[in-house]
Amino acid sequence: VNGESGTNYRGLLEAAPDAMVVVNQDGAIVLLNLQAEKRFGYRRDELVGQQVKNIIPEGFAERLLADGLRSAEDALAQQIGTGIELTGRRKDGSEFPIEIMLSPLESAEGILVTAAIRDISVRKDAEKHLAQMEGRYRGLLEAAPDAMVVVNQDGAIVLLNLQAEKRFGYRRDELVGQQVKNIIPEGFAERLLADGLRSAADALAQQIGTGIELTGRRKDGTEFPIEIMLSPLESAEGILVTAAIRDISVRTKAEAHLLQSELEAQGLRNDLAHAGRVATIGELTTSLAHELNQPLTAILSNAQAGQRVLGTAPLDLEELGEILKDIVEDDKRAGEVIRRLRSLLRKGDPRMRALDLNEALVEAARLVSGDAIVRGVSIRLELAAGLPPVRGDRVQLQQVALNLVLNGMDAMQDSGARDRVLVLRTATAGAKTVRVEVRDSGTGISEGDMGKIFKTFYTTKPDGMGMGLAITRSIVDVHGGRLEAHNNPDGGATFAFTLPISHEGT
Amino acid sequence: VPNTTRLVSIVDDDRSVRRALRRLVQFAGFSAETFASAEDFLSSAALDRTACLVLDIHLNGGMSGFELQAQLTADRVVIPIIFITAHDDVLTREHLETSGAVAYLFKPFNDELLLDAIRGAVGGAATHGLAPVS
Repeated sequence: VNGESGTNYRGLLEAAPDAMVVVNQDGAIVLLNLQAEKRFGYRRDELVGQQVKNIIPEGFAERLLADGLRSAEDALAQQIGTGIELTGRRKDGSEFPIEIMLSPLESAEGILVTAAIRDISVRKDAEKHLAQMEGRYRGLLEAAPDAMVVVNQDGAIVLLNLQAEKRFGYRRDELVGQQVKNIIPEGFAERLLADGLRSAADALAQQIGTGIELTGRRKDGTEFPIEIMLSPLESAEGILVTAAIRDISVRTKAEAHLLQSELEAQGLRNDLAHAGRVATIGELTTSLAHELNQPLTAILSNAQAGQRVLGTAPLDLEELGEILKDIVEDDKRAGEVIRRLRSLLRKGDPRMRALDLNEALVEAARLVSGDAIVRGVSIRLELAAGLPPVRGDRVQLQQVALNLVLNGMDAMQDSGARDRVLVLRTATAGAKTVRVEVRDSGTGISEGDMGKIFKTFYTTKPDGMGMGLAITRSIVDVHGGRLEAHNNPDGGATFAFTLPISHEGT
Repeated sequence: VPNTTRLVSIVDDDRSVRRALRRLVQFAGFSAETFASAEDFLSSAALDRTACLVLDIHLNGGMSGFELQAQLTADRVVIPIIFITAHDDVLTREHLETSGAVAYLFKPFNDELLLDAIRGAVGGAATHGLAPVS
């Protein structure tokens, strides 16, 4: 490396970001740059002419030497361009990981070797760290109580734990490298993939931490319900997905059992509500007889008037037409009473839907109107205009109103009060609630009874069963409302219940 | 006295019943006026002309039929009363039996029962106002 070309080469060496050392075929250093001085902690003159083994104790000089099997050229040719990881030794004896790249340099003294030496401590540390992490991760995987499967973005399984082997009935080597679809046929791989709308990272981000219920398939083809939780894992190969897979067969069974019990309880509640309605209708016989007798009276009288018309000459067809029209109207009216009665007696699952409470209350009030008339009670409806719809079962809510109205009328019967007025009032109470009040002018509730009236089998009536208010309250509860009672300052009691406003619209 | 001059007043809170009874009574040859409440009847000019009162017991709101009867007695207004009711129970029957009414009928009732009671109340055998077809 002499003369002009030598000078140029030296310039190139100094410009290189790596430590550069030029070595001859005897393994002696002939040239080096400033980076090499700094890296190894020597002054230049301390290294030139010295064996390269002093700074790279192993693996470099050996590569340059001919041996029995090959020439020096061949030996070198094998190494050209390859990154070789070795250890560098500083003047103070400390060592550090290096990567060297070799290239040949023809010179007057024969072939020289230029070695670009890169300090890879940082990378090595990172790799070591990663290896540790991987080791730890593997440890964690095995320690996890759930089956754990790590999947890459192609949907292939790259890692799994013992639990996963057991759960799915495969040996580890039967699963690694296979598509995760083999053990989770649907809903998992799809979640990892990018589509037109989102990147893989976004797709994954949407699923992280969420419990997803899917179906697992064992090697023998049997399937079982699983819940998977996904978490991302950055790795050299890109983002991997760790899936914790839990067998939820037991839980599903427990849930089914719970659901069954809930259904049974609900069925029981519905049966009770129905029994309550049947009892209520028992109390309504007076009302029903009255409500049916009125149209029947009109029908009979009209029909007999019609018969009389037929006995006259000339035949008054106009009057006959009027009579028949009235008969039809009254027949419809009687039919309505029956229809209302049947809808109240209907047995079946409650149908929760948005409904017009005012309308339902008007119908309930009609059912008791005959009773009210016979008992000399005026029912006054004070229904708020534009009342928002509530969500509930129409029949059960009518049952609530009927029970409260009948109770109110009973209370007034006992009081002997002359002015028997029962007010049925609706109003909105805040943004989310509707309130219904049934206010009587009866005897009121005694202090001792106040805390007990909603209890099952508690009654103040001589022939009462003590079911009415308990059922009424349970219906209100199921509807997400509250039933309460208080005495009016001017006598009598008010029973009031709230219901949440429905946002479905009627 | 022709039947047409004999006024039968009907007090019932049910519009259909009022219309049907008015027809029957008119076909039988009487004049008929109907009232939806006891109060309406008491304040009407018909009060003095009424030969027979067909009175529903259970009136929606206001005075009951029994209360109207008591009021008439207190006012010394003597009108034969035929009670009608859609409600049949022991208490009502007891009250009816001691009420001094010329008749009481449970709804729905046959036209002849009502008309016979009216004829009995207004006195004498009433003749039909309209000639029957032969």
